[in-house]
Amino acid sequence: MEFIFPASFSIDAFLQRLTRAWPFQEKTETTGRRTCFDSFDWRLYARGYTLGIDSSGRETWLILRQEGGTETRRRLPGPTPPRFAWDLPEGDLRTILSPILELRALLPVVEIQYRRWHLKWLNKDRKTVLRLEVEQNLAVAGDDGPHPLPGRVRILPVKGYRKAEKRIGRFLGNEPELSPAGEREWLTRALAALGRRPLDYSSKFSLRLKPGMRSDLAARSILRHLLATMKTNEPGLRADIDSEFLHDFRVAVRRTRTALSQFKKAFPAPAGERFGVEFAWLGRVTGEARDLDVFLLNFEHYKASLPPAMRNDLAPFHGFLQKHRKQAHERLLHALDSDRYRNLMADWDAFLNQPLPDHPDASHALLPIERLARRRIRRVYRGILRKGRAITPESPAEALHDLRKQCKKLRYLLEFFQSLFPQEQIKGLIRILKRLQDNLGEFQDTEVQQRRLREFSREMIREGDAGADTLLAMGVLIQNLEHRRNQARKAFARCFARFDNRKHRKRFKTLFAKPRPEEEENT
Amino acid sequence: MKILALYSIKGGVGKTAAAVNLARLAAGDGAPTLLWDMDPQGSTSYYCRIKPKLKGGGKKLIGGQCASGDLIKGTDHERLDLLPADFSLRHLDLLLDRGKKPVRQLRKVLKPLAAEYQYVFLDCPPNISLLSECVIEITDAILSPIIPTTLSLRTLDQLTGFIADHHQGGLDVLPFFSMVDRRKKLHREILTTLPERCPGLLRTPIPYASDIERMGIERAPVCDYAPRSRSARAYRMLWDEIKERI
Repeated sequence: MEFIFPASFSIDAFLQRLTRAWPFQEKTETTGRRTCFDSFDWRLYARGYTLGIDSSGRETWLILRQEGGTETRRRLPGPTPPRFAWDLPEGDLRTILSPILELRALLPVVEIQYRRWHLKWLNKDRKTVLRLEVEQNLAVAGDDGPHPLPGRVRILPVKGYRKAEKRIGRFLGNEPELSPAGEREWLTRALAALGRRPLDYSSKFSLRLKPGMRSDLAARSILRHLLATMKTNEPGLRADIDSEFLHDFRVAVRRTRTALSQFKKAFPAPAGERFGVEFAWLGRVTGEARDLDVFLLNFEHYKASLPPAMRNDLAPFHGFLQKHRKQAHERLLHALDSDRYRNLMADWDAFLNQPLPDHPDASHALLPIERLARRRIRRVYRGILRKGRAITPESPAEALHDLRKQCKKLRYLLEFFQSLFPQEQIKGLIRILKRLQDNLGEFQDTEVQQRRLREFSREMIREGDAGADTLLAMGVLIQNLEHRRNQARKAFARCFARFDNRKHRKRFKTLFAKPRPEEEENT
Repeated sequence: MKILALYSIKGGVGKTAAAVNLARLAAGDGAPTLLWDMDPQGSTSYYCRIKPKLKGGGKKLIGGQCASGDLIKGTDHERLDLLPADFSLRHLDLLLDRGKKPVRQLRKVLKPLAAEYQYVFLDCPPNISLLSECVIEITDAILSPIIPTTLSLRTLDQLTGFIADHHQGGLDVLPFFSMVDRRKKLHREILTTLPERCPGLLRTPIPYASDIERMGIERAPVCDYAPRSRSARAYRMLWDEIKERI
């Protein structure tokens, strides 16, 4: 059982009240530092976990607590925090954290200095029957110096001695300034005291639109949201904290491009064209680093796909990737420091924030967004059906690549407009679409990766990085990718048929149907 | 959950002291740990300041009428709990024999605790009995203290023979030297010769020390009241070695 008290709470008086009323016979005091960690997108907090590094004296512990009380801890050799789940030593913590964090790095969320009183209630055999911790907290960092944070009281019950726990629980429950709350709640309040809010970033697109909104206004809200995502990810991308900052940044760029083309009649034409060109450029200049990221992230997987005797031959390739990844990141920073990027961001921001004209020239500007949404989704959906149905086993790869692009557009449209439709239904449709996208993605990605591997091997020879064994191993990788590509191509017909079945067609049709004339009049 | 049994055919070899200290170190490393005092003498329970008493006796525990989790008591140390002894455990053999499938009965006691504890230390009574046979079946490793004397070496041979007869393999038998007195020539000799003969032997010897004997007065593990002592350091090294081996 845990309680929180406000920073203004008088701990001395409380400790006096406590020890006067109950037989706490041992009282020790420690001081230390605790840093709470989470990924940039709050994966731990969202799942009810808090992760902290607690250093006191010579001891440093990594402690993971789950809402409801279970605690997993591990002693660390020093105060340096693990950056990724894979940096943790094998064991419980790594097993729990790996699937949650995936590729995301751990970042400090709040750093505190604590003073902690440990109290023990002993029975007549001097046996501990209850432990209690009272903690006073102070945020370390802050522009205006240390900042007092809410404190905590934790009852650490001793198994088999329920009576003591119940009695002290009642006593604490009657303390007016204590409120029962776990560590997650404490973290929420501590962050609030520092002016931060948990879950303030998610890579999922989520924006609430009103069905009757003017289309130009709605389109701007969507684009402003995407611009904010780019800006939020930029510092992490520059600092190269983990690969997902660049990934999310690029997704926001792609979504922006889709939005520009899908809502082009909601904007004045010249503006749309200019920004379309500029965001295409931004997509290109961020592409190289992402490509290399993908290779590095897949590296273990590639390695495992080789016969065991060849696996170590791939080591020079890893070195090559890292070297080029570093150079690509430098080039990316150069692009982000360029006038072109600065102007793009400033002009785009200004464009999205300029006042809306009362009588816009763009033909769709005043259309209620719900109608535009339905219309766009219907169009793109129909296009996918038409293009997909035309694909035969003999069709060229480009036909599938083109279909993949259309699917991406539909996916973004569904995500942009999810707040206008019943949530469960939209989610269901996204799931159906995602299965088809996975197949098309596998087909194209394995092709692109083969091409890149050939290019890499030529570059490696030029740079003197590759011996015959490495090149042979890369050849086997290309062969494996070709096999996967063929599998994906073979599976396409089945995947598309599943997407294009009557049940799903009906779901799309009912959800995005054109409003009947009388309904249209009402709108 | 790893089950580690402190077991020796011979009594008075420092089994209980090792069980309490090793379990304390495991808990100190952050692992939720359970000590099960199977010895009706209840010395482990005494060291933990807990009455050697089970509600309903050993009969209800083994018979499953009483959930093991309800009988567990927390010790003075965070993350270290105890399933106390009970005088009725002197009939544990009979209780196991009376029901069907004794190994399964013993497993049933620990099964519900698997998610909660990372380590379970069994402090077994010194003898060869049905209980020992069952313990051998359910543990991941047998930690067996041996005093470097001729008789103790004989019991080590008996133990390995007994395990070979009753276990299909895959069980770690980890003997370690206990109550080592380096003033004695015989102890020193056996300390150098036995490792060649017994490859599973752990390298860290536990000394014969008054620090360890004081456990009865302090009613706490050595590392709590004499953390810098030779004995506390030896238990620490032994535990590090065990973790690597299991």
